Amino acid sequence: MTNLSADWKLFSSNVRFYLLHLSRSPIELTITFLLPLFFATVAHLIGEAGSGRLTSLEITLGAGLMGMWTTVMYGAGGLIKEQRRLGLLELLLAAPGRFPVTIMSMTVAVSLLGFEAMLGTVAWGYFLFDARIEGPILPALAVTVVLCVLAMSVVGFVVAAVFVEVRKAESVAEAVVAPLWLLSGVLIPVSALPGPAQVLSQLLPVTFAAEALRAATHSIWDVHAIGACLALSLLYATLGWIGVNAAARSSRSRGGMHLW
Amino acid sequence: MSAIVMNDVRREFDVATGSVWRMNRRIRKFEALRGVTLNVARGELFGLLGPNGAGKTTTIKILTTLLVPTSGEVYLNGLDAVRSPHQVRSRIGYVFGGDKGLYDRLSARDNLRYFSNLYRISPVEQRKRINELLEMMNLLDRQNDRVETFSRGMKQRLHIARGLLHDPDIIYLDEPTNGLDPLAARDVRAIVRNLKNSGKTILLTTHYMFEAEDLCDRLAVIADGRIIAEGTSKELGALANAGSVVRAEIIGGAQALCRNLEDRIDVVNCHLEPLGDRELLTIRFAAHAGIEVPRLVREAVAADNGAQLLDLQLREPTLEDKYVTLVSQSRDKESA
Repeated sequence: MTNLSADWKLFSSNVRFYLLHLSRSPIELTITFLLPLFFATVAHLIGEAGSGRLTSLEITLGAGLMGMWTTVMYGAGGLIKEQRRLGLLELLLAAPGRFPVTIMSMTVAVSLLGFEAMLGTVAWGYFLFDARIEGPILPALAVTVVLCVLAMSVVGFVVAAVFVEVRKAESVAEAVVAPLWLLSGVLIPVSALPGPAQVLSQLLPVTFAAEALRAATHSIWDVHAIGACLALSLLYATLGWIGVNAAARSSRSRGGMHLW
Repeated sequence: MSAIVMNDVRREFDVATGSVWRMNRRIRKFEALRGVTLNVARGELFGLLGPNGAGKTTTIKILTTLLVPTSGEVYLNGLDAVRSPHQVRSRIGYVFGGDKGLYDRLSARDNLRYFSNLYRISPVEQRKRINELLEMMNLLDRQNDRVETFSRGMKQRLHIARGLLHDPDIIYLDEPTNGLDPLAARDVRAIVRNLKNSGKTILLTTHYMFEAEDLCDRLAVIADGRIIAEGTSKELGALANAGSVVRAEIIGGAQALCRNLEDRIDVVNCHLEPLGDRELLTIRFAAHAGIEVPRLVREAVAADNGAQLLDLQLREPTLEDKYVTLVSQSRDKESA
């Protein structure tokens, strides 16, 4: 079996496993579903108070992305912390399967759980804010939602790498969640941000995923945004891979007790 | 051929002291292993004993490729564990004691399935192997129950099953009976014995001396990062120069009595502990102390004002006595 095919098998089976693991916590599932109600309400209030340029569906999906962001930012780091607490991180490193593949599968599972937040928001939007998804936009919407999951996963992968290296990285995650909501344009369009913030937002794959998603609500395939999102996702995946490997290497050589 | 070879392995850690804000932060070196050399033969059950902080965990982390030594060589079944950790990992199994190391919200079978994937075991082989191990560990009837509902003993058996999934040649058992009740510990010891009989090379660390004596072919005692003795239990006794042990029950004994006894050249170690309305004095003599040991103790107690001897028993040294003697001698040397 080639390394790539072995890695893919490990990755896909791990994603299923971690989804199963995450689904065994009813409280987390409930919160992930209910939290978007708050996000959707806030987003609609901001939308009403603002210029009114965004449609109800755009606002709802933006709120869904906020829910996904929150789940990924806290979830990816939280899962690493849980592995450490359960003494599993060192077992994962001591196994022959490649460590970054295992960590990446965790973050993809967390992003898929974040997709539940998106579904929750769409449901709240439909019942409370009359945000309807019409048949013709469904294909573009489905593809761009998958793109959002991908973009969030790779950012989560980088966050997870930081959590492998740094024991108490949650303060970092907490500090960046709200700025990332703004920067990635899930709440308001990037064009509404000040100049320097707009430059920063171009470094996030989620910005382009959100752009593509917004375009999809008008049945438009934003090829530029999709391409930019894929390219940045690849860059983040590479960064995450290097980061996880570096954390594992430094833990083995420095014995800094990150893993145990 | 040796299954486990460690040649002059050293490991240093950086330890930070002070604080950046007070401008007195310092990094000092702490040497956890100071030239450890070990040879474990294939199929041998080897015990590594030592007090807390002696270097056992660091040794295990190096042998499981989780830590690289600062210097020295490590070979596992002829493979360089420092340069080729990935090759080595599929041939070693690592089991530690306690509640950790399992996904407790998932079932025993799900846990084993997950680790089988990590060890790249094919789905067909997985099913067969997981069934075998669940049966061997007597967990078949609870295979679909969440691990969080398991007793400590069941978790430990599941741990061992996890460590054996890929049928490793070398198994590290890090305090596998730690915190188990006597019956659960007996079950684990029976499993370890079966593994040894099936030809596996096992390195066991434990704080229970009777367990080490019962299970291990050979033992090593590690203290302050060095192997201070190695051999069979009998050979350790000779190395420790361990002689008779006196167990004396006294009334009114003080630590001064213990210190006076310890000052004698033929006394290795003396320990006084309260025992209800009296004190228990345990005196470990060196082998050259001879047969006059009971008389020496009687005289020492009589010379101590206020101490009264109630009972005195003489016995041969156990592995625990030999271990205490070796570690005490090592500490005396270190402090000297």
